[in-house]
Amino acid sequence: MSNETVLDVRELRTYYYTVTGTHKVVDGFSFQVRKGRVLGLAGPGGSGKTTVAASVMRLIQPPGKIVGGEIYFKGKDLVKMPERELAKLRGSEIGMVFQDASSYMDPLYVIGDQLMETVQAHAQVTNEQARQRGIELLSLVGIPDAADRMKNYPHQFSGGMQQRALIAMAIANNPSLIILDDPTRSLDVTIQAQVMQMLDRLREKTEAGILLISSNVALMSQFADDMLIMFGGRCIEMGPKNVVIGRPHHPHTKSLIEAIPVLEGERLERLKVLVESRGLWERSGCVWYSACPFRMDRCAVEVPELVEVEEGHYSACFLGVGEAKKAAP
Amino acid sequence: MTNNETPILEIVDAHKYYDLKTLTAFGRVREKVKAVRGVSLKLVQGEALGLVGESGCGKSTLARLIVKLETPHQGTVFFRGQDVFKMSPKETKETHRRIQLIFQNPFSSLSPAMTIGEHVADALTIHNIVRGKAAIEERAKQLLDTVGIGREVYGNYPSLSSAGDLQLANIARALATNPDILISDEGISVLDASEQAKILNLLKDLQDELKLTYIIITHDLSVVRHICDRLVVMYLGKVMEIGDNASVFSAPINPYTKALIESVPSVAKGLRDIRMTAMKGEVPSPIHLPPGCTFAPRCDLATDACRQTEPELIEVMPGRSTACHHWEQVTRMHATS
Repeated sequence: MSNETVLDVRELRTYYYTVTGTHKVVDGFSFQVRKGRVLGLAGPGGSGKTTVAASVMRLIQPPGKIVGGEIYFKGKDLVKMPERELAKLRGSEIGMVFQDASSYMDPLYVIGDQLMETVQAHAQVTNEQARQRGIELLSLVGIPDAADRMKNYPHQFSGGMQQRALIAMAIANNPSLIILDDPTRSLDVTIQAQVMQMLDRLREKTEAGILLISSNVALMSQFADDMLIMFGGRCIEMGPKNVVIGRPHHPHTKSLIEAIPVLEGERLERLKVLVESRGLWERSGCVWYSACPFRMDRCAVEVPELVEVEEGHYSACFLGVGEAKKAAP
Repeated sequence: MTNNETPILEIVDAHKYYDLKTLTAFGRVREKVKAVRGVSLKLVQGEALGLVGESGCGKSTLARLIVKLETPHQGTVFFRGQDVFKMSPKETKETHRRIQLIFQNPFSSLSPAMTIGEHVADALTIHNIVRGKAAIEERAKQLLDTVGIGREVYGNYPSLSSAGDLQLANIARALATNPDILISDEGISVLDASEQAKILNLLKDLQDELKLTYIIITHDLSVVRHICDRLVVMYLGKVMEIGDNASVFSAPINPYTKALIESVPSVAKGLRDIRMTAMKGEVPSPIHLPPGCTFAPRCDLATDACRQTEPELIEVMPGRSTACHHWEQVTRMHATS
């Protein structure tokens, strides 16, 4: 892979210290996002995905704390960076889009003002230049009559349009890294398709590295180049999308893929239910132990490290490549 | 499921609009949100009907009409052959017991000041299902066991549970009244994939055991794929297509249905590196509907005829209805794709 690495996260650990105990929400997590490629980060609710994104942006608030690891953005460690420098990166070189767009826009200011503010916070441009850029951005994200729409308040935009406006704000200053945290979760399936189609077109125009976080594996299969499966705060499988989804190695990944509801094919008598990820932080050994049909004694006490099961494909499981194939259901 | 008796529920030409007073340059103007524009449906006992459509298509309003939370401006609803809007208060209460609605937001449909057990017990008390404190508590606990959250949550407040578990609690509360019909209004699509699977499996199990009839309302087709026998697709207050599950998915006869199906993300497509495709345009406002067929502005098959005359819902094959001037072209699109 000759693409330059934009984001290099190494052994990230983010813990939450609460009255009920220490929750090791992210516990030794490493990954890279490359220029021009999309990394899909998948995992069930509670697996720590949003905490990963918030950690990268250094947006973790107490009782959460980044307790270990390094986050290299274009070679500089964000964990050690002073807040002032970080503030310059956020919204300019790193753009982030969260789920539930309406909570992230000020209801008292028109969309145009909010877009212009993002532009002017990071560049010396006149109001008129910022306004033109705003119109350009709204058109880019597929909002018709952009010039008129600049004058609308967020509540005058539909859910899908609000999400697009947020994406416009995230890409306003041509970021090198775009982080999307479940951007279509609150949207109808048809609007979700529209937003994803727009993101696809955008992806072709930009060289940014994209990190897409979601629990919707089917969605990711149609957008990501590489996939990372997260469970219980750890990465359990990683590799190119076609490999991770087409030939999953880790038993959890296999059950995840099997549980995806499909419209094609026969109707099922029963749907597969996945094990929840919350509350597994105190476990020793493999996070998937209690649910795994292939578990061995060592899995209860040893934490499996990520091993390369084939070129570029990593899995955190003690099953060897050959055994995994034999063990396939 | 063939059934020659009276359908358990029948909606006849229901119309419902809401008045909006908007402040414009001309002063306050009365506008109408046309939520339901002439919907007729029959529901057979024991079937699981999927009511599918995007936000704003009127499906929730239709559900509210069925349980008498709203009154139609035209048309009516028959439950077991009786017009619900002509019922006495006593008959209405009985109907409320027999048709239960589960709402979209599991958090807002439960009081934070009452325990989960108290919610279920309430339902038992109000409809006199069981008498006596001890009996009520035991029955409530049984119901919590039946839905899979377990009697241990009886004394918990809703804040301690996940959305999926709360929705199970809502189902327990709904089952408490021994209903005939259970309506889920977007209560499933808001959940995680695995929470969805849990609830859908539960509903399937309960269907045979308790002889329930379902209406599952959602915008997400994958929710209804495995549980619903028949599908009704709605758009902007009207029914666009009706048919059995297998036919609608394999060969839809309405371009809107086809576009809806194609919007669902698919691993099969992902593995073939097929990108997501989407319908063009936004859903028009239900206040200012486009002339003719309301889907025309977004439809690839739209012609002038479509923009002039709104198509009627016609049964074009046994058990299959569609509201489209060019429905045969939709079927031809399958043959070639």
